[in-house]
Amino acid sequence: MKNNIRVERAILNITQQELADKVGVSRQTINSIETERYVPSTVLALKIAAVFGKTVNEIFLLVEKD
Amino acid sequence: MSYTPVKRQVYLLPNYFKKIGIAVIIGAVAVFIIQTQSENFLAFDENYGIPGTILLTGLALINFAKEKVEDERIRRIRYRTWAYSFYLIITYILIGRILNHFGTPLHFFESPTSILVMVLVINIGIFAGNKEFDVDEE
Repeated sequence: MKNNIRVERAILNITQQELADKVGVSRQTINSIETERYVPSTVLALKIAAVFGKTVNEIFLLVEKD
Repeated sequence: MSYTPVKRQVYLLPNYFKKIGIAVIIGAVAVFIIQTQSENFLAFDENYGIPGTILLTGLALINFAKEKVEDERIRRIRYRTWAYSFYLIITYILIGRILNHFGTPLHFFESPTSILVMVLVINIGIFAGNKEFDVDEE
């Protein structure tokens, strides 16, 4: 599953740690999500999308192999 | 906007117990060394049960202590780690029983202390490895 988290963070000018603090996870978890090594739960995906003021579908993208 | 962390489903010790566990393990090694070097120190403990128990305690404290930040990714890694540890320890016991049957009995494989030490050590290793290199396989 692809995501635009890094781009959205750059738009808001926030670090991985700041995003992690806002959604209640560790910085390593945000890093794992950005590098597509970890697929977040529905709740966490919704929280991340809410931080950026967007929908989950605008942040996370299904790919063929999913 | 802030969120409260998701409640833990399994009770874990506070994070500082990891450091206590390391100190306990160092103590176990020290007791073992002194016991082997001294004839009178814990002379009644012929099978080194006391340092073994102290070692188990230290390993348990490390295994059951929280990470600094407990989130869903860490919980998933922890559950997966215990599953793999269980598979490995079953394999360990089965191999030990086979070896005991066909060769000189290796009581080490059947010792509850050694089995528990193996489980806890394997758990620590797998957890640390998964935490650094975890890939979502689902």
